Amino acid sequence: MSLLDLFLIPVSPVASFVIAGLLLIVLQCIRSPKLKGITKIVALLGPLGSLLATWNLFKSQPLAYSLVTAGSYEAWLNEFILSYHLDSTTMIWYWAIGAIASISFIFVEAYFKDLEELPEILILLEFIAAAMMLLVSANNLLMVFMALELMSLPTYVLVGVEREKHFGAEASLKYFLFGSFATVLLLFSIALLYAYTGTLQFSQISNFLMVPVGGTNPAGIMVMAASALFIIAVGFKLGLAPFHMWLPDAYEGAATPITGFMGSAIKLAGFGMALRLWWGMLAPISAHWVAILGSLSVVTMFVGNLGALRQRNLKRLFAYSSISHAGYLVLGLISISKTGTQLDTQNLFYYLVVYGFMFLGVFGILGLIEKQTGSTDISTFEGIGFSHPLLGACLAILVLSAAGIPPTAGFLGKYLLFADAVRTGHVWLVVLAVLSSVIGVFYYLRVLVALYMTEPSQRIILSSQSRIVVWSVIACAFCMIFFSFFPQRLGI
Amino acid sequence: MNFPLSMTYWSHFVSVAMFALGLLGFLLRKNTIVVLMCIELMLNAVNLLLIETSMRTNTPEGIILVVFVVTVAAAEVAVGLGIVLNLYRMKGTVNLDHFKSLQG
Repeated sequence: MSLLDLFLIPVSPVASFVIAGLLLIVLQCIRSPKLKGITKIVALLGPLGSLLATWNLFKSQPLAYSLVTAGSYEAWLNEFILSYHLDSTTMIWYWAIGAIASISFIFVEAYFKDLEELPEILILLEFIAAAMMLLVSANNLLMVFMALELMSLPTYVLVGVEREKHFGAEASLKYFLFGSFATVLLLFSIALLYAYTGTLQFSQISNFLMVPVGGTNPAGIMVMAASALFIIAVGFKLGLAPFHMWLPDAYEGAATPITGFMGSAIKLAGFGMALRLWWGMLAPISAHWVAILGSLSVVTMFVGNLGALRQRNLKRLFAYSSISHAGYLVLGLISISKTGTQLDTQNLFYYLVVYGFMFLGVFGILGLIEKQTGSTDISTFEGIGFSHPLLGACLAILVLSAAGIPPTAGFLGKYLLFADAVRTGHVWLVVLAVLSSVIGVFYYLRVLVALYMTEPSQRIILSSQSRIVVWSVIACAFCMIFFSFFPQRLGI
Repeated sequence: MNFPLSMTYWSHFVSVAMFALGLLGFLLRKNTIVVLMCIELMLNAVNLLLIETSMRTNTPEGIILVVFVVTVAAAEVAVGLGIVLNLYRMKGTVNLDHFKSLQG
């Protein structure tokens, strides 16, 4: 196999984002008014090129890549092959990240149309997207650390990008402090595992952990501490209760399309990382973390759903809703089973993608309304179903999907996750999860009531809706119906 | 195939103690700049552990990771100080207790 097959084609989806980001930096340095229009198009080349590259990767039989053994190549190529995990599952993640990133780019470009810093925002988004792809295919703790930081640091900046707003600045400080705390904890657990095993490779660490560890000897304490710190660090990053306190504030304070991106794409990549860390590396000691994650998932669901009940600001309401969805996703994460050496991640992935498009679509609509009225309070949405039937219907479909009402993909996703969990013996967790989603239906219905059953206090007219934004929102809502009837399109 | 941990067991305590100091400072101090310094302290505790392991096991990964950690820490401080500076311009303070307009 040549360098092209071993290196250039596997990294092409990542490279597409990086190249687009670098191009944008160059364009930004030229500072010619004529290039203003080109910026937006170049920015979209990143995600679109990445989707194309992923398709090309699919086509060229990449399954062989995970079977390539390092050996007779140059040293750097050997290291790369060892630390880059690429199989058919990873490529579905690439596809999802590319699709969600392209829709986010459209929302961001429309929302920040008049902001002078738009090119900088787009540059940061390109690099975040590249880091997310590296994160889901990491096979080495060094790669995990670098990708996670490349993803997090620009996000802290993006949350506070509207510099003159108090909320945004405070939200970014909060997100920064909790995020860097999580990074430090992750790094400490990496160091502990390294001190025990002397390697950073997932497969080699796994091999070490095959030997039973435990007890009060230093090695046992080190592995237990590392495993606990991983749970806390990833819990902070994913916003699992009790490590969720930053999440509603950060999601409310950030600009609406940025929140949409954080809630969908970064959650997706975070769960990709969790999957690699726990099932790729710590699988031999699964007895130590499955029970802890299971109880965390139930706590997270209830905290999210109960917290959302008393919210009147839709941005905050959906922030809490995303906490509860993280709870369901963790339940899916611990009930993954193995056929042979292959992990059955399709159901988890299905729920993640459906949740991602749901969150993105909702925040697309919130962004449109907020741009016009300056508020995302639930009273702003009263009567939207009549004054803007199309947007109202889209929001209704997305909210129904979030609640898990049958004809939508949200229902099928929940059903598949819960079926998986029952199959792996987490019956009580499923009972509690169903209970908590019943609580959830209540606040989702409140949004529907506001849309269709309340007389508006004043009628808002959305004057200048960007057509491409409306089409993207429709696409998100369409996904909710389409994937419900054709789940096999997502690899089920 | 465990490495002879007992020989270097005590050196781990230094880094764990440093980490714990940083953790305490992070949780208790109210000045944002001091909190940032505590994050740095924790990162350096990790670096110490990594270097120690790298020397003990004769593997290069630890030292490579240290170089990356130092670089990332610099970037993180740049971002963090930028955020703090922006807040200081608006509110005239860096005390964490004054940043509470987002709770509800």
